[in-house]
Amino acid sequence: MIRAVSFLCLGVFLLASGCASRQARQSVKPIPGVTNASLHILVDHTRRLPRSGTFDWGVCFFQIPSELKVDLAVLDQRLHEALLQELNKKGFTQKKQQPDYLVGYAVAGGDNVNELSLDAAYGADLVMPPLDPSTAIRYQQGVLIVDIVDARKKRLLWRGAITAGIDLNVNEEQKQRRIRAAVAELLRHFPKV
Amino acid sequence: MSFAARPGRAIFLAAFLLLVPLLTGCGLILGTTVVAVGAVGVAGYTVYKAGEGVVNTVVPGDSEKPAEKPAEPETALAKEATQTFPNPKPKPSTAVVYYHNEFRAQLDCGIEQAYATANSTLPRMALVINGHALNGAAGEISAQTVEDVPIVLKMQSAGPRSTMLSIRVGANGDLKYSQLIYNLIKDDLGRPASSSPAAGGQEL
Repeated sequence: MIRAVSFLCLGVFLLASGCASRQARQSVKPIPGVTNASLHILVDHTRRLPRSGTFDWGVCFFQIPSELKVDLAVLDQRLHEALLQELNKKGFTQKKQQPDYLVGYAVAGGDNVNELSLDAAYGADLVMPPLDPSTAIRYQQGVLIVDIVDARKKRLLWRGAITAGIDLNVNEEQKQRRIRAAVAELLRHFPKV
Repeated sequence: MSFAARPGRAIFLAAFLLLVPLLTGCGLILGTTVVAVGAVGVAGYTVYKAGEGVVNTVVPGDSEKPAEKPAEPETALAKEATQTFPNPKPKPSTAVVYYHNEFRAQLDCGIEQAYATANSTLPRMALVINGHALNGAAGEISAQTVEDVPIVLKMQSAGPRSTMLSIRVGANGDLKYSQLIYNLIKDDLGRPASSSPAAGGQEL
């Protein structure tokens, strides 16, 4: 009887520990200069996600209040540097001519950022998941979205979004570090979730 | 041999039977989440969030923070916008798209006004206008810098008070210069620059 109860306890323990470890893997790592960070990842489960290949830059989307007077060129450069660094680590190399994938990003702030408006910005030549307007995500804080798109079929394969409160009172070096950390945290879940 | 004769085995079987619905329950949950993905209309896609899988809302993922504490509505971004705007409700930010070396953003005016304003703004930037045309709902201005870098502005009517402007600087594009042209046209339209990020400012 003792053995049976032991088996039962062991079974329940294994089940519970399995659930706990799955939960821990999905947590958001701390990012400097960012509060309340959360992740949201969309994955095309109809195909195998790429483990390597070539890429070039896709759509860059900005929706930032003018009062912040953001220099988009500097922001763009920082994001591209951070993305290039992380993607190189994962075995992806940049290639301008006929890349396998397009890597795009969106940066937005305030409470007017809607997933549908982001999708609309991509234009008609990209195949986006057919979202129900009533269930589209409305991002409530600052958001950085990274998209991996099949360059040939123009189909979205992976979308990672990180939403967070952003502290603007940091120096330039800290801003660069923050962007690198946010991109690294997002791409930690690519290609696996 | 009956279970009555081997009570240990009976308890073991009972324990096994207890585990089966538990495991099956997990399977059911898995099945439910797949259904949920279909229900949110993202056909062929699976959605994950930090903390647990397959939902279509975004919640704070930091498990160290109290779960019941809501995400702060006054983020640094939102706070600054509220402080700067005299209106209690700030205008929505204009979306800027930069793709294939082309800058695209909206102007809050009709196409005739946008076309006329752009034609007067470009010479003020020491740009030489080589040609321009307005044909109903579409317009185009070709210009060049003193260094002979070609600049093309295209306009497409998006409504009585809305025009989509695209700017291409040179063959390889120039996001910074495109943003500057856009901001100056917006300023010249005589509206408060409520949505255009100004060039040369701070970065996130």
